[in-house]
Amino acid sequence: MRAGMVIKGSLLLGCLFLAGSGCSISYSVDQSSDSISQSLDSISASFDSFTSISTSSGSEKKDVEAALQRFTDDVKGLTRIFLDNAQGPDDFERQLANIARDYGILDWEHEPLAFAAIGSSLRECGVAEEDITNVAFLQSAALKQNHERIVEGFEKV
Amino acid sequence: MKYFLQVCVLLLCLSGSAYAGYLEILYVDANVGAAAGGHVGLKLDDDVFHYQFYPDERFLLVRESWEPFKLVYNRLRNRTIYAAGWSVPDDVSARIRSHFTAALASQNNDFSRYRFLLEQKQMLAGLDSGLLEVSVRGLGFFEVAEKTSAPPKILRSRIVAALGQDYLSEKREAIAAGLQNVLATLHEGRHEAGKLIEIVRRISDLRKKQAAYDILNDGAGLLSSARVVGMDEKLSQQALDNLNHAFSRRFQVLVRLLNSERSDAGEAILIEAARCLALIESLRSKTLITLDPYSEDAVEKPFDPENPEMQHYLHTLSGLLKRRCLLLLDSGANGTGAARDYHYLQLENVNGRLAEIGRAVSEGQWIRLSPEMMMPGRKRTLRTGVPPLEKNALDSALFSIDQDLSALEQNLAEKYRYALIARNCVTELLKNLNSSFSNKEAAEKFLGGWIDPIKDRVAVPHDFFYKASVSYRIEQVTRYPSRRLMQVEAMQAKSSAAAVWLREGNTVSTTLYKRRIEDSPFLFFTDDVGWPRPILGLANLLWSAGHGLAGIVRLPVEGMDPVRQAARGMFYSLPELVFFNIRKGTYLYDTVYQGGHEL
Repeated sequence: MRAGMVIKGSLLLGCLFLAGSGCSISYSVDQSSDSISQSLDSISASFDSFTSISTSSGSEKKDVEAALQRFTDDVKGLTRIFLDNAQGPDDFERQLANIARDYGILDWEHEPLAFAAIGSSLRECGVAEEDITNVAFLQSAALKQNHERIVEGFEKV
Repeated sequence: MKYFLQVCVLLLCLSGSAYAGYLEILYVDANVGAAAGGHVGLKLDDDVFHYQFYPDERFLLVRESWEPFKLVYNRLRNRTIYAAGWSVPDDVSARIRSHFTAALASQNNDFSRYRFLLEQKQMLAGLDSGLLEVSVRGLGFFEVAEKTSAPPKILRSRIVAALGQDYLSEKREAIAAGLQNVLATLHEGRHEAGKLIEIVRRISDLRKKQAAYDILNDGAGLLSSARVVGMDEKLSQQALDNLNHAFSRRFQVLVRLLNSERSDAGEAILIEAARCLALIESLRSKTLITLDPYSEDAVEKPFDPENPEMQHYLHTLSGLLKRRCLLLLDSGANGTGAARDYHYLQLENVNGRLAEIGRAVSEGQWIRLSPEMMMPGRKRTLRTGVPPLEKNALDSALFSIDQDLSALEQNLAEKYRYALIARNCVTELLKNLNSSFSNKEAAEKFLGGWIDPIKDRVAVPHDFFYKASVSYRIEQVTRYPSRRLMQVEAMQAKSSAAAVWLREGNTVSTTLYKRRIEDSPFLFFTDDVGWPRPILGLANLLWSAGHGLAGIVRLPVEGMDPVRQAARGMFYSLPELVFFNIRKGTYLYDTVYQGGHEL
């Protein structure tokens, strides 16, 4: 069994070398760089995901909930990496605005989910509650105004 | 009664079990074209994390929902997916998700910084000629010359009612004064050395805000090309009520943005104002009108009016999108502001795609594509005259940005490179999974084992999946047969397996597969046969060789393409001679009228 797997793996590796193929099919528009895959046959990939139909109204709600969970995850991820590097509040706000825009949210200043996610991430990363006011990338007017919401998110974890 | 209570307690314990997370390692079978050696991913609930290689040589972490992932790999690329899963405590699942999301955020941050520097460089470069060029998202929706239509007047009167008669004009004057002030700083060289780019950035932000207030103050309407209409029919009263509700939310956001001190609020104001105008037009005409969500650089695929398969597919898609659109309209948006914002974004995306199919069919030239959710934001460039700058200051700022860009480019090239063995979808996934835990022992406790991509020499997807299956605490392996195999298996359940194979096992008589040039010429499918594979592989080799000979004869007429495809066909037949299959055939369109979809 093991020898068979090794032979199969080696064959595959050989084919990979010869074919010079990469690891995956990149159909999606690359959000990071605005460049796109050269794949031509992506009509299905471009339209099908938007046709999912369910007769139960609950599924629409689930779609929205899943999207907002991703939004929360993204903001938490952003907070986490900003704790590790030296970028300032302008960069943080710009990135936060970019993330929010992907979810249709243009006034992130009034979006409680965003601040709850920031607070929650700070706690997960081991920031003490009394140090929140000193976090360098949170020193902008909009973020200071939402300090209470950040603390609420911190305390909810 | 005592036993009943014990059972209840047990059930309660189980339902509240700490093992609420479920982790799956995905293995995607090989096939021709990209990912010829197979592919792997990590599935956490509905999200799949995996690494993709892009045409510009970058190798990036991607997160997508399970259904779109399955659509591309399983349905269109006709590959069987195997999912080996096991339960993990909720906090472990959250930790792994958090780790992968942070890697994604770090990647987005890197590229966002790169785009930001490029934009700054472009702005600075223009200053040499006394012009600052600013690309403004959202401005491309407006017809600046036409100021007589009713919707802008309605919107303006609503803003006046909310913020006061003079709010827009006073704010516009304040922005103009601020802009003059910053331009004067630039003119008189009063800015600190090295702060030139910050000044230019402020001018750019103020120009965007100024453009937004000009649009609202002057009552500019939407360009006809900015609006899209997916369905011609009049909307129901319920749909109109829900649109009214959507307008209330959009207007609330617009007013908040107008009150905001955020320096980057200009573009957001323009987009929300355009959305409000589209909604006012919808409510007046009782048809759904939304903004065109496609960006200027959306991919365009040629539309072939003579291709019945494409026509049929788009017709089917059109029906499904229309139903989705009506469902979104009738269900309306409830819940928090963010939930309502996302619901409206979905409506814009579905209506935009529906309208795009209608446009492509009627014009018969091309169709725009975008697999991602799109935020409407058509751009237009604004040009602002700026005072002449001291050449040294400009050169120094440009030099500094060039240095930053060059360093970042090098860093990105190294950080996001692809290497067949050292940095591929297996190695990076494993590195990320392993580093989700503080140490090897913690990983072993929850994963059931430890696989080191370097020490264990794991680089091939198939090999990784095998190692994961024996090392990790796998509870279940689920197989999602490729599209063709699933259909073949369904046929075999109803009639003789031999008869089905005789008909469906080759590319000549099959009813389930249409030959595609991209798949290379082959005669037999060998993914569902065992011992006859080398014999069928030999037949495939000869078949491809025959195509190659025919291609050589037709060389003067058809060029090198048929010969090249035949050579590929021969190449992909070789593994079959030693019992190994790569080629399975692929599909251009999904069968949207089958499976979970109903028309």
